[in-house]
Amino acid sequence: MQPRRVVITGIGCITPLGPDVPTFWRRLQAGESAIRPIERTLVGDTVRFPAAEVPDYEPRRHFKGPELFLRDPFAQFALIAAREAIADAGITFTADPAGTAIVLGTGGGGETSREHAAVQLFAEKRGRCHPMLVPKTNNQAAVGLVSMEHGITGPAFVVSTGCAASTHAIAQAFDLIRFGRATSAITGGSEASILYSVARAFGAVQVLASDTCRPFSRDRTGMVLGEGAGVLVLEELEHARARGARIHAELLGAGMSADARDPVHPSPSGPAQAMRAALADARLRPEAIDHINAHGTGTVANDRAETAAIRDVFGAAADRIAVSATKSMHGHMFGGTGAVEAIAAVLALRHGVAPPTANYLGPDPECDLDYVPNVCRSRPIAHALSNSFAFGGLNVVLAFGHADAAEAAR
Amino acid sequence: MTAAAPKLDGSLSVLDVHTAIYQTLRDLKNLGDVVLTPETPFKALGMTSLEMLTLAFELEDRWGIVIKDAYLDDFETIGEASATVLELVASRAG
Repeated sequence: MQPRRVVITGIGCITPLGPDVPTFWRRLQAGESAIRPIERTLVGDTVRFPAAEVPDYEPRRHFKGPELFLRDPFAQFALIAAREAIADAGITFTADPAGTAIVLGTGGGGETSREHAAVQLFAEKRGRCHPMLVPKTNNQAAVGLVSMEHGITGPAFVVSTGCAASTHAIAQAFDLIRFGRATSAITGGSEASILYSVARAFGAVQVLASDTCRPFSRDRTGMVLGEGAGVLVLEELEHARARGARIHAELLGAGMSADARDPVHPSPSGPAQAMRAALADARLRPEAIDHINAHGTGTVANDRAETAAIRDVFGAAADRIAVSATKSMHGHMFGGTGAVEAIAAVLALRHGVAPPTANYLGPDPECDLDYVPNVCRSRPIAHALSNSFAFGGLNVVLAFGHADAAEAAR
Repeated sequence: MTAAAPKLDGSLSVLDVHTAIYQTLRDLKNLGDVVLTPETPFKALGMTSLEMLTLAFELEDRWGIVIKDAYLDDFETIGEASATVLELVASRAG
């Protein structure tokens, strides 16, 4: 069976850069970083760290009282991004509710509610949990709530591969459409875990930045926690054409791999294998890639390994690729980050602008690619990759193509 | 879900408790323009056992009290629930 072609017809996000896609894209191009010093206090202990929070977020502006009882912030973010993506696509589900899939990613699910319950149980010795704790914190909670809000009844599940979760989710949704299990999909992911316990845990692995996130830069000190959600509407090309949908870009391929090396230390071989698999799946030669939205966490180890992987796959052609690390602006949104970066890659294709890598101080001898330092760059982009790598050595890469090719194809 | 600072000087009034229960009920369920009074039976609002537990949990959070599960079965009206809350707050303050 010839795989069907899949296009992106809707995008939505709520990120540390703002409540919607237009704000996200404006601030991303301007190179504005949302990272600020913050603190979290729990049971009398305070931890201070840089983080990128969704600004001025008020749940009651988006949800009614009864809804808030069942919705951890990670699900709230997913619902808000899904609303924007679905409205952007102009798609409705009443005619064929079973034809749409929902595949979302998250790393920790309801971490906010879980931490609150831990305090009640262990610090306050309440001896009881909130009755809604389980349905609220399940990793699949956001998927269920999106299905209920929009009346979608097709295949629906969650993918939980930490920092790569929403990229893996998009890859799964892509295959559901390509191979005929669905005609459209709501996909992406979310995370809301800028918490005392998470800051302490990631601090212990010694991966958190002391100042800010400076991917691929000299003097970088690590990653920065972010939060939010990104959601895309994927659609089978003919289905999108038949309803006259506007096409943002085409999803051409996905590649996945495992390092099979180390739980935390990344190796170049796994990411390189995933990029090669994505190129092969998309039937693209390495020279066809103009832009990569890098995983680019800002840790010494990731950025070195990712640079080596890109060099390995693209050789000399790597020097003409604009490699952007947008985590420098929105932070590492864990299970939501891959989808938000996929949206950034789609917007880069659409507008012919590679977003900058912010907070860049100067070259590191081991990171010798063109990272679009600090200032965005206008350039034609026909094909782009978006990289995501997770602890455990799990890698996934998406390949996107300009909408023109999808529009012109017949 | 944030716990309000408990008033330990005995100034908590029946009205305060009623108001808190009304607010929690409206947060829990879409009650529209249903008028709530101390005489309103929980049954009339269609409260499920899970919703009664949630109400109890929210009231516990607010005043740092423990409402035993057994009490929940005894609450027929908002007024009965608030009387128990007042007693628990008073005994804890003492």
